[in-house]
Amino acid sequence: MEDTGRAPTPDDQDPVPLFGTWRAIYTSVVVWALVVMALVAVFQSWSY
Amino acid sequence: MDRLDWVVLVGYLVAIVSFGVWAGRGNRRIDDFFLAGRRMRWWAVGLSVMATQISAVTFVGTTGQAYTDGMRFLVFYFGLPFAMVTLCVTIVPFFYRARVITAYQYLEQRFDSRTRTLTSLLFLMSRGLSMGVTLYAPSLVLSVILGWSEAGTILLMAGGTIAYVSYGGNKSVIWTDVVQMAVIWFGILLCFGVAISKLPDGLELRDALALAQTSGRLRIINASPSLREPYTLGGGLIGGFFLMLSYFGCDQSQVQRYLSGSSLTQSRLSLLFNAFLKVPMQFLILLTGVLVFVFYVFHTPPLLWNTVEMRKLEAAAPPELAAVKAAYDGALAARRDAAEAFRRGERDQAGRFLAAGAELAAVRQRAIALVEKLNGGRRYNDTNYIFPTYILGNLPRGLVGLVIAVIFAAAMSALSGEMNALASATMVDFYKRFVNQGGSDAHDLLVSRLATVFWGGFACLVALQAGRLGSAIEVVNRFGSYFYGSILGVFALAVLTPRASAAGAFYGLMIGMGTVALVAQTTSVHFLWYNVVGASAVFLSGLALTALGRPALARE
Repeated sequence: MEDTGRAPTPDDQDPVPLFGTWRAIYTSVVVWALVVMALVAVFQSWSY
Repeated sequence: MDRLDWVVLVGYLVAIVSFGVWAGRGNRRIDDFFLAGRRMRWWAVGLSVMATQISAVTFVGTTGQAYTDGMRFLVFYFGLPFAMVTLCVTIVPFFYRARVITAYQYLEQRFDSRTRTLTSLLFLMSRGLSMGVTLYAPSLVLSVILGWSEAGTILLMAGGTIAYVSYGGNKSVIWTDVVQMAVIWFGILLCFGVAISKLPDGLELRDALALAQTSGRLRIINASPSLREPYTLGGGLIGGFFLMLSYFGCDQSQVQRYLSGSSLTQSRLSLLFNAFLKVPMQFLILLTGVLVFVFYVFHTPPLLWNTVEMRKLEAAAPPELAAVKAAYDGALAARRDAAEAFRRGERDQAGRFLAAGAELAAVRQRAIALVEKLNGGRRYNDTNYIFPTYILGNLPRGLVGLVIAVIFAAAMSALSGEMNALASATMVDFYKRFVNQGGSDAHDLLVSRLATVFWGGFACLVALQAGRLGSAIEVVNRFGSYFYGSILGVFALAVLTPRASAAGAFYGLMIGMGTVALVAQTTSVHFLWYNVVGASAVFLSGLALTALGRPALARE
């Protein structure tokens, strides 16, 4: 069967844990990454 | 090492190999052997993904790098969380739906067989050679620590790994990775705790960080727009993003891990697990290296960290050595005095501290020049020996053996995943297509095991010859970076552009690799950007070739 490159339809029946939706999980990962980078910036410039 | 350390180390090695064999029982088909029957949970796969990426050099090399150069290497991982989200949204569902065993199988479904064959071949060549380097680098360090030959450590690491991977396949890989990651995490936290507890009396963590900050070792984020500088924020975010997309999305050693998930949800969660933990983990490893630096400000570090080379130098006793040693002792004393003053609150001593540090580095360079002269000009780098030296001298009995076990664990976990991935690409992309399509399950399983042994043996051969290859190792590493991004470009064409043609993808891949080679040879752009260049070149040229090819198709 030729694969046309179209996105597959969601066929996964597993419930999305904790956050309820994939969008919420992805958002939390991105927010986490930004928070970690901000903390790193604070860490390097903190006056010890 | 104390007897108790040997007991811990030998006990660990016997236990992990036995556990690997036990965990891998029950394989009946190659789906079981290569994808653990697609029954794994996200946390086990997530730990395996993490363990495959961590090599022994990550553990000893990164701490050493933080000691000498500071924590700026951290930005290398800044693009990782964004890459994981992108992969979960784009490529992982395609792999999952296609029910493939190798990533390259998908390219045949989407394009044609030659694109699949070429990408799989490139993977086998680069990963096969780099697995040898993965084996060789820790063997150097371990041979000095344990007093064994390099060949002995290479054969021990590879032999133990081959034993359980060839028997149990991916199930063994994943379950041993879970144990090995637990050991590695314990080792990281232990070393971090010891590094804090070993700070000199009266020196608080805050003072230690102030000293490290003064030396520039806490500088992580560099906003320079330069493409030549290593580890800039842009390089980490954009270059690192593309590198992680390539590694986790197109490299069979990682794709195979998460395709073992029991569902698409489990596969995605395993990657997102890494998105959450990877940067904090690297931060902790690097900070441990920085604390080791502060420790050696107040204690005497050796002139050279590689004790074998130091002994050779002392035995040769070149006339300049005495002067170098005297200058080194003087610079050390000056740095310690300045640090003591800094610790008492005389922050205006920072300049003196930095000047003494620069003098110390200059004297060490003179010693390194002597070693290189003695070795016929061969480059000397002892960064990987810093952390093991610290461990051997400062950890209590038993724990030294445990941390050496962590180095073994890191090496074997990376090796096992790579070995299993190379066997899967050999078996699925070549043997079952070109040699024997209709083999029975038992036959296929046997050939898969033999392929694992073959690649393990190949890695040993490369590692045993690596000392003689010298700069060829750098060529191997550079070779991989030429097409990593380009393969990503092919997958991007497959997933993002429904109309991209097979010819566009195949010739686009050639153009992408050529473009990266051209950029590497004619500019001084940092290697992190090669992936951006390669992926973009393939994607754009693939689209252009598809558009150019369409009228010809229409005429037919």
